[in-house]
Amino acid sequence: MKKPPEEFLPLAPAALHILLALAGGDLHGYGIMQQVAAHSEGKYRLGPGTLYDNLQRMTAQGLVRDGLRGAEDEDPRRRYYRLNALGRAVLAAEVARLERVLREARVHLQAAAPRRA
Amino acid sequence: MVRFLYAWLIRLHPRWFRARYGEEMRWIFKEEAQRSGAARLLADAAVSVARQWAFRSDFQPEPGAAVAAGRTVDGIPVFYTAEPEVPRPSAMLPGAIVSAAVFALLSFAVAHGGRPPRALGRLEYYSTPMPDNSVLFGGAGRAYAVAGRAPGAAGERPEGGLWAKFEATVAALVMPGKPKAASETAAPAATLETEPLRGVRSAPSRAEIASTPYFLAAPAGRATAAQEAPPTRAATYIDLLAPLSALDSDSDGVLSAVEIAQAGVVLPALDANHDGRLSAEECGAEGDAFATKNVAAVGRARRAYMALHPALAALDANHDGFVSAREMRASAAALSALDGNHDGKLTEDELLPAPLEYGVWLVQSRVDRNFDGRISKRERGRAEAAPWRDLLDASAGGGSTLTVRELRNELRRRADTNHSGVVTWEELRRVFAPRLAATR
Repeated sequence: MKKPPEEFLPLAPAALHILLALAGGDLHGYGIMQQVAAHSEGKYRLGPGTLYDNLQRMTAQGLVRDGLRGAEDEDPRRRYYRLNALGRAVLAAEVARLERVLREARVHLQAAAPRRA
Repeated sequence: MVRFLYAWLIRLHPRWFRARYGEEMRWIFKEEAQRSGAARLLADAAVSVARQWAFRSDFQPEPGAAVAAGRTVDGIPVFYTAEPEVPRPSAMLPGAIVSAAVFALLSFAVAHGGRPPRALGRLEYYSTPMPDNSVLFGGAGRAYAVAGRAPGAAGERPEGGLWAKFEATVAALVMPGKPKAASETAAPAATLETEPLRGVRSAPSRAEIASTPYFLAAPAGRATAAQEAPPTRAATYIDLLAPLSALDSDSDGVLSAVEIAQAGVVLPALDANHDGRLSAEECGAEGDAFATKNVAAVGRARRAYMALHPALAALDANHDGFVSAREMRASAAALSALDGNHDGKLTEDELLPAPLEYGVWLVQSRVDRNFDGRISKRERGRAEAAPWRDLLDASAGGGSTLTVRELRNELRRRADTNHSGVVTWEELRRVFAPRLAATR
């Protein structure tokens, strides 16, 4: 029996970035790293050790599917990863959670802003 | 170089991780090292190694999955290995080197480790079966023996529980200071028939040695029929040497074959300081020569003491002044070799040293403070030399320093009154008795 998406929350930053990168389509490991760097405008760079540790865990949890081969003319070492339905649901739940956090944060920041005389 | 280092870091990962992601990590390193710096990737791999081993062991696949798939045969045991691959042939050499090194280290530790700490639970006493189904015990450091008849018929080992109680009770007898456990106090003492054989005396004091040299005791065979017969010369001598005293369990002044056979068990009990060997002092030596801070002098005195007494010389096979653990294990055979007439026992003529040599030792051990074999004028002037001063001065022949050889010659000249060339105990007695009487 699959766990509901909410039980995976909150996601660690690395896991969130990886799921976001895979939301746009299948990617190999190096492609995920490049996508994450692009999403964060170069401010968040995953190392291979961190990347594959997260992929290993998310594969075991059923969020990601691995072992997909690319085109025949591609380097055979490139193995592609794909977001499962559960992974997509978890990503959506995490984004919704972050929106609520963002909304709360804005309300609190406006309330705390200094009033002008 | 950095690529080799990165490959090495990947090899340090758990097998299941590197088999799945190792190739991809190597490829990414090759692509990314130039762009974002090798140091960051190396640090990331190092952290990954620690993380995988410390926190990700639950990703390890079940062992023996391939075996469970159908390679087992009924009735044949199956062994699982952490690494399913067959080791590389080239790995055999380093494996052999590591195995040999570990074996050599363990062998060295066993051979030279000495007595293990008591925390390791070493037995506090030693035991050996006797022909009559009794057991002889020697308590470590307590140095006395107890014989007890083990419950059960001769030749068969009693039930474990009863045997354990028997051993616990005898151990309590050997080590009276050890607190008894409840199970020990409940031991059936009535079935034990324990009886103390004979206490091994502690080393005699210097005053005792000076007042009762063994050659002043009645000669063997001349003991009167009176109730309080004086001890024989051999019995007095045996009392002065702790190893012989421990072995002569019936105090008859003779070491029988059975008593000699117990040497390997009894002697370790004399090791009062638990260093795994018997020093000359633990064998009964006392005197200023052993109390000095001059380590070399003490070493010379120890070697001379062990060489003087035939039994100790036989035990100290390598003549280093100590009876080592190995020499104690071989002690029964070493003592048996002293049995010149092959009658199976050691008697006075086989145990006692040459009278003249003992006389020389008696003087030298009191006068030659640094035991260098030379007695200076200053040493002759000390109070301890007073009883022998005329002997020493005559030996010196007007010189300031005399050697032990000159002392021996002078002592022989004075003692050998019948000019037989051999100094007997009686002759030595005539020279020493008045001098020893003066020191009392």
